[in-house]
Amino acid sequence: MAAKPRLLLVLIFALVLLGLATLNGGIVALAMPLVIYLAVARLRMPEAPRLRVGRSLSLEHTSPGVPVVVKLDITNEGAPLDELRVEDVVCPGLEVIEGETSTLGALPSGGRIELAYTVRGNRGEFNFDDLHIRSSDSLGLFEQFHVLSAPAYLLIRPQVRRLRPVAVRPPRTRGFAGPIPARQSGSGVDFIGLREYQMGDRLRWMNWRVSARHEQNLFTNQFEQERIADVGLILDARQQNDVLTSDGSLFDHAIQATASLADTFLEAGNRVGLLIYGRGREGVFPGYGHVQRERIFRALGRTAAGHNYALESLYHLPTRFFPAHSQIVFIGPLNGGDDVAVLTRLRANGYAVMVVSPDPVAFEMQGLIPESNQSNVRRTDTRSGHERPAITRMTGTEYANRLSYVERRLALLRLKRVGVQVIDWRVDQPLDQALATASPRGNPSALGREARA
Amino acid sequence: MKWIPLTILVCIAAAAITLAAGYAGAGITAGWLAFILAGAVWMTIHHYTRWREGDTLGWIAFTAAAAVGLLIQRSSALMLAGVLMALIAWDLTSLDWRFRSAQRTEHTERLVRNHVRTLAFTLIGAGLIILPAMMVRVEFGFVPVLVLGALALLLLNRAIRALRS
Repeated sequence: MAAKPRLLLVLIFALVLLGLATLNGGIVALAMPLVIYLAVARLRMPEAPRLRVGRSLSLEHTSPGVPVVVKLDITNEGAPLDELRVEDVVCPGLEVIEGETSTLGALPSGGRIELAYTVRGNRGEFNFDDLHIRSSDSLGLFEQFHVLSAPAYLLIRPQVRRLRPVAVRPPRTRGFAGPIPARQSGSGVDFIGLREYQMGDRLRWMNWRVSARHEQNLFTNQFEQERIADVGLILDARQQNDVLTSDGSLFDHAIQATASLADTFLEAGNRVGLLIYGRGREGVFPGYGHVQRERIFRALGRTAAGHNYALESLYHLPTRFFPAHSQIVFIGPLNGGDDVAVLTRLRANGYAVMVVSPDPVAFEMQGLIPESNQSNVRRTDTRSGHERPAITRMTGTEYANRLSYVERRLALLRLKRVGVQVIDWRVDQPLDQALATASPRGNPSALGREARA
Repeated sequence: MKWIPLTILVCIAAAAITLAAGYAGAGITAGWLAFILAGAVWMTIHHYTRWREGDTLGWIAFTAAAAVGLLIQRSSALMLAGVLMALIAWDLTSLDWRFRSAQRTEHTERLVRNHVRTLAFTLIGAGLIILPAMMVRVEFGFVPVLVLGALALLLLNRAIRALRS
């Protein structure tokens, strides 16, 4: 029973008892208006409402921050309702920026109520469903609560940033022309070698300088073919590798990077697949074009970091998911020696491996150290060009930061040594900037410098 | 519905004045002043604060004061009128709160019309039935009172059961 009828009953009971105890009929009579008030309310209590509810969204798939209009149409198919309160349950993570999510009113038989409001939110999958209905008598004493279902689905894809073409060099390419050097001679732009002149060779390909050194032979330049390739993106969604600070989650940055890379590779005509490794092993099989991009964005939109004891290590990475000798791009912060060992094994199996690693140490320290102190604890290493913690004024946290930094640098160095393209990405900098520093063949001199450092 | 807050204030004032008049008629000046003050406090709480329980407390206090007034043989009609006014005020404050807490309202006129009609029907009916009953004085012995008390308890028990179901 609701609070108001209970209060009325208590008051009625008290007045009747007082009247009887004092033998005062007037006091008992004083309780009568309350009794009649309560009785009328009880008699006018509504039946279970018969409502038809429909929900529509202006967009079903959208990008972060884009307003989406949610419309609810409620029709009374039963008896008139004296008082009706409708309240829509907005999914957590969505912000109402305009309109109302609840309404109060009377609804005659066949009457309609329309609710419309605008929401926006960040990446995620949102299932609208519950609609809270409270119908009561006209005095508002007896209330009935019902939950109606009005399902709708909204997917907010991750933010995509346009990147410059990413330089990759997989051992095997596909048969169609594209932007990736194929390690085979043919029509192309980059010089790959010389061969003796054959009938049909274009004169403009003739290498006159070399031909002049030989009396009988002519030589033509050969160029490297450029084709499309298979690119497999692996997103590390393991909970233990995620870092949560007041600035957000490192995993969100990794998702953004994955979406941007997928967009860039697909834009160049490559065949791209996605594997999300975390709670489970969710995959988008390799494919081309806009439809594939949409599939990948949807998968990224609904994914979340999760924990699975069976997938704590990368050892269960299904390498057969991607074609042999293709390009694999692993996106995630590296976790100790296991990850390095698995990525090394992938490289040994003939895949070209690129690691885009959002820096968890720098990300976590940003949240721990106040802005004003950050200049005191970080400095730029003149030899490697990387920022690292300064030695001055070090606290326990800063020692831990420094140790983590060293451990991470060593892990990245081990990967570089086996020929993995490593992109050490501080998430406060644009990914494009980090990718620009990476070379598909590695930079031996820089590697040597870092090893010595 | 701009008339609702004004009606609430009028009803609170009417309840306070009616009860004060009842007490003043018996020459209790302190009681008279207390009701005027209590009415002013209730009106202030309702109008200037968002303390919802303040209205309920005001209504209970006024009903209790009317019961005390009847206990010390004040005018039955004035006390009953005071209780009815306090009940109307409490009911309208509840409606007002429901409107205030709603982001939007639909078919408001219909809702308010239904509410006022039910309230008027209830209270006028109650007044018309009870006022003559209060004028009539019937004396019972101890045993009939005991039976009536038991009957009242039984009816209350049934009422509570019915409400719970």
